[in-house]
Amino acid sequence: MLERAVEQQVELGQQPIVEAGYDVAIKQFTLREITYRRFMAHPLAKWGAVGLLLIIVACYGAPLWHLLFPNFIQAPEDFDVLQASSAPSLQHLFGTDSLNGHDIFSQVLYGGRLSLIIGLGSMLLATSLGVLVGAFSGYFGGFADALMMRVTDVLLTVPALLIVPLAARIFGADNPFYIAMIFGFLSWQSIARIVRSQFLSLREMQFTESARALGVPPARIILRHLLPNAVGPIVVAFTLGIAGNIVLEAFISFLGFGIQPPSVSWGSILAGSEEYLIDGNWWWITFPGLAVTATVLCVNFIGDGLRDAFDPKIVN
Amino acid sequence: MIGYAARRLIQTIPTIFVMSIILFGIMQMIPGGPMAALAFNSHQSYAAKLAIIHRWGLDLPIYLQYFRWVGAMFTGDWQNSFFLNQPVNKVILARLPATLLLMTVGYLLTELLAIPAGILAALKRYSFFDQFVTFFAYVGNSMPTFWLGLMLLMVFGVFLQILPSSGVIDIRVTGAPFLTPEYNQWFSQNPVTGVIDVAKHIILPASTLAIVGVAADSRFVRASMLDAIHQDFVRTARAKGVPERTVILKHTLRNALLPVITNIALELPILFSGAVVTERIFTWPGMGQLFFQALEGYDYPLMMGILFVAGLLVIFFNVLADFAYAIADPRISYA
Repeated sequence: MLERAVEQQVELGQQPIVEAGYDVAIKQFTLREITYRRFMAHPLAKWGAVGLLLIIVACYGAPLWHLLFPNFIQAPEDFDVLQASSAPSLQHLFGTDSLNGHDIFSQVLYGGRLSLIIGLGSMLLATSLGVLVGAFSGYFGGFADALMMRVTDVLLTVPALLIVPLAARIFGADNPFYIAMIFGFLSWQSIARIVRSQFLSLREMQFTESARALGVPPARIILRHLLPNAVGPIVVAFTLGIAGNIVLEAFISFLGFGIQPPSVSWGSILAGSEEYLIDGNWWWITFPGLAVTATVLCVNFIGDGLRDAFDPKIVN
Repeated sequence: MIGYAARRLIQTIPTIFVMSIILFGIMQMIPGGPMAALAFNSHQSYAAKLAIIHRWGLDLPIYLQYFRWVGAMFTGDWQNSFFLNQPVNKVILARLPATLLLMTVGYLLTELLAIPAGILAALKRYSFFDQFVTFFAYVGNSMPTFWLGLMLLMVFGVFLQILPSSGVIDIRVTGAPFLTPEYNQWFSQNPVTGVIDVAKHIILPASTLAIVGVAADSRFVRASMLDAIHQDFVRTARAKGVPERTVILKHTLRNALLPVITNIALELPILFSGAVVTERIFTWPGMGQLFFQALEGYDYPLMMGILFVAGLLVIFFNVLADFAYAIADPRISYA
């Protein structure tokens, strides 16, 4: 308690009042430390991070699990037609699909690798693009700004859901790298808008003005003075974008326009499952969908935690 | 107000213009270009191919092709769909009502549930109900729409078999496909049976949209309501002894619903995407289902038409959102 009180006083720039008898070392916390502490104090965010970590280890360790338990975890290309459509059991934890007899539990583990990396990779690309466009627009303004924002508006207008399968058709969908690229090129607009609006206010700040007066070149002002101040909203949008793109990938691959066999993603496991619904094969669609939901839930928790951690208005 | 409306409408023109350029660009990126559909026709001689290229103006410079295309779109010549062999605009127009019907019902269901749920959650903050709404919102926001649709379809359509799982009407009841002249004639004779039939079919797809929508909107309504409740004028009203009911209904609600209106309207594009997904799952005969059919059949004219109409719809929704806000908030002058 006392430590917290001292921290707050230091944060507020006050002389800390230390009660007699306590030996408290006064430490100035950096913004990064404060953000980290606030994030870890957010209960959902902490559990989201733990959950996501578990999912990542489970999925990317899949080849290792296969080596350790070859009877229990199938390699993605292995299947047993005789075992097709079997209900969940100890041997097949999530059952098997009706088409080839793939073990769904193993498929979910292996499939997570592509789903997660596509979500992350696409948002890395989208964030780079969005920051570039948004920073340029927001800092320089004028005609370039008007043009870029108009293009951004339009790209927000045509539903990405319709463009993605079409683009996958055009550029070839069998390559997960292309899928991530397509997703990236279609999800930078909201980040560009966020960065632009942040920059519009930041460029009017006195520290920007003084940097300009000192003759600091624009590129350095943007990188050193403006961008660090806008990092919070960017990180939040980045995180929530990952969640969105994992869901989008699942849909596109489910339709058969995305990841194709023999590659596996959470969406491609579900491809074809529709036709077998009528047989009562409930486990085939249930478990891969649950994997997506659990992952996205964790990512959303983290996103919310980050939003609160970066928000200067919330004081805890 | 009228001046504002006119200006807002004029603003959509450059947006539509840029959209048309982007769509035209996508069309140019298709491997094989607009000739792709004829690429596999072995009966076609090289001379015939050149003749077609010349007749369609595909040998013209690209900007001229663009203007020709825009001109054709304006005059209502949207080409024929390769597979249905009917004019694209007619095909789309025939499918639009089903999409709009699904969106409207899904949207009404969403707001009818989300607004009361959000308000109640804010009034009874940290109660069991509030925590339930929060939990529901988190889970609903994290579920893929298509998967939710599949699960509902499985539970209610396959296992319980209490609701129809596909289409908009039961052809055994109506005797003709949705919105054909025969159907319309039948409907005018049996309006009650017709409405019940469509209602039964719309429950599952509309619920899918509503569950996702409520998850997003209830949180927003709750936050907005909490903002309003903590305003000074609300405390003043309470201090004056205004009954709690009046404070909530008259002082708080109107202010709380302002941001909700803009948010709802801004969510219409998301609703449209949701409808596209839902249509695909429940084989609802709307634009979304048509789009995936076109995609599977490499039907590029139809795809472009649908993309264009989808874009126009979203622009229209955005304008609608701005109008709604201008009407709802008298503090902002739009003279």
